[in-house]
Amino acid sequence: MRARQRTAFWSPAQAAASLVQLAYLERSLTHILAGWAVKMPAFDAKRAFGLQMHRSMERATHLRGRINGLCHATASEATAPAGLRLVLSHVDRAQTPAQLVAAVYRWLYPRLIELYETHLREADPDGDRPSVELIRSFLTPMKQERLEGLSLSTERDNHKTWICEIEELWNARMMGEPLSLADWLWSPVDRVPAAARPEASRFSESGSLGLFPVDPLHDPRDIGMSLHKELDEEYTTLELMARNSYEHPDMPWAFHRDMARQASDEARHAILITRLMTARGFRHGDFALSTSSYDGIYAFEPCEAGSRKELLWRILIRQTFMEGLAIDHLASEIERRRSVGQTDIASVFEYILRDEVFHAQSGLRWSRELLGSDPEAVLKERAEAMRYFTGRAEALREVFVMDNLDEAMRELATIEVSKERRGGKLPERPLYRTGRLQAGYTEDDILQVLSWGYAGDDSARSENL
Amino acid sequence: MRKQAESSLRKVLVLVTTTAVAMGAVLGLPVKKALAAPPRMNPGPEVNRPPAQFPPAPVVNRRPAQMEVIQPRFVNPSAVTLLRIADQALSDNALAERIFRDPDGVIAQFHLSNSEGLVLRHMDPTQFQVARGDAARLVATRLSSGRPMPPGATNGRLITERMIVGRAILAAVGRSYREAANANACCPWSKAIEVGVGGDPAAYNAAFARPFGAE
Repeated sequence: MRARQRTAFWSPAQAAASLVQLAYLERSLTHILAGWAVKMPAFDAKRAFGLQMHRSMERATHLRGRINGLCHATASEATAPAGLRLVLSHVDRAQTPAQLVAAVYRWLYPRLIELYETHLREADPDGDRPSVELIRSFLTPMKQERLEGLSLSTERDNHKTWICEIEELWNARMMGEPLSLADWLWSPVDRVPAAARPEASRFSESGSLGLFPVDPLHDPRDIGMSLHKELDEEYTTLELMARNSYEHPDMPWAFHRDMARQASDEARHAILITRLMTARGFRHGDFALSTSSYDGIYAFEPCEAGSRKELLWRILIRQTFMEGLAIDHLASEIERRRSVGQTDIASVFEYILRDEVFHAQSGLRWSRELLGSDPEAVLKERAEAMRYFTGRAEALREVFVMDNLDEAMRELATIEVSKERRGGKLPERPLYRTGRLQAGYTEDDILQVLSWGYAGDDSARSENL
Repeated sequence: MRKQAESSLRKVLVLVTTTAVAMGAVLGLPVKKALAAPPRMNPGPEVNRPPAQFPPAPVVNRRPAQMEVIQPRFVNPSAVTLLRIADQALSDNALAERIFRDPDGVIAQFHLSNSEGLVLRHMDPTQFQVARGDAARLVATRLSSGRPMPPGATNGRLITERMIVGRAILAAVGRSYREAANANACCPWSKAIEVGVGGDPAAYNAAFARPFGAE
């Protein structure tokens, strides 16, 4: 006897309601991972969170598009109930990294996967085919993400009480008033002024010049050291961008996509740099770690904590000043590494350069947006932020030197050796104009960094990268 | 309960600030400069907070930084000789004059290394004068505070020497962020000067000093 073909499926409104729940969970997952990346002591957790927050943000974006497709014709709106926010914000309030890992990978992912599978079962396979195809493309990577997430914790504790609490809230998730998109997320539950690192990590001292590779082009140990420095930058930038998103949930959707993408890029860069270090016999932690590019750019005396001005300064300093210099530096490094046969490093830097241009572009876009698209205001605010930032660094430097005269003498001696190797010249830092222009720097932006003396204009340099 | 959580954060702020000021005071830095160092920590955004439970925070670095920062494989200088010369020059005007007018002679007399010589060349009369004044002010402030001080904290001569040598080192290396960036041939954009809190558990743990299950 042949089975009768099923004809009763979800209506478009029911399908949209299901997709809203899924989009809500994905967006909240991004939010949680963004808040937690900096609080996870383990580097593999940071990388996983960086990569996964981008994927979940993109899934949420695709789902939103599909929801619009289902609701547009009837001018209807599919909304998420407030009960969902209660559950997810509770997950965000995990008390330890292990609790968070348990909540996200042992509890949230299975629920999310189950809801996706329900949609596949109940949706009209022809009428709602775009959703079905989307969901099918999501499921395999999501199952992989869950496995990766589970491997982040080796704890035996199954956090039963904690999971039961979440489950109880989950059972009531459809309760509460409908939430508009602007109210989906919750305010940040904390401030995190210091980036977590694994137990027993050693750190470069505040106010010091940090790791100092004298000959990062030829000396094997100095090459390892410069890669080590680079790796720290990848992690701290991942953490800062993630917090930028988490601490400002009311910024536009596109901002969060940019921040998530950058966090994911930095995680990929960390993987690439680790590969280069491993090939040379180095591991992260072989030298003193630095969290400077997170801790030092997180908060500023003149900016109210959590304010838009604070966000603006973070973006201006990290994304438009430092990442601009990174574009210049990488362009030079690619040529230099190629010239000495370090093609693996050159190749990795080529990929990183591509991403850095996007990161600076994103920084320029959002700093301009925050300043009402006033180019003069951007220059002025960048100058003010940099004045404060460098002033604070110089004050710390003074404290360090006075308190560590011997160390300061060693730094001086190392600088002298380094200078001697360069024939007494200052290091060359040619600006990479093509990359800068592609990122969206204006001539005034370029002039500003040139006038500060952090880069030199070198019109004769090769632009063929 | 919110007050309790805010109070924890405030304690961290006070700790960080006090440490910076204390450190600055030992070194003879103006309070304003010492205070410029730590990022301000404000309590996070308001949330309703049910009864607080403060669980143990995840383990982070508890070990003080070791100075592998600068590679000792090329040189192993110290400031001892320079401090000795500064000490002598404080009560020997002839030596002080020779430092300012004939640094090469002093460098040869004390067999100073290149780096030590470089620092000595950055000592000048104004620096001696300013250091004397700063040290005297600092000692007076400390003595009038009535608080117990570590050994040497009110020794004006010791503080003056350290100020002279420290400031001369700073002048030799370059004080500015840009000069620090130029000194390091590697990665100028990132951290020409380290400004991180180095895994400070107090600052890190502040993130976990919040109640459980708050919405």
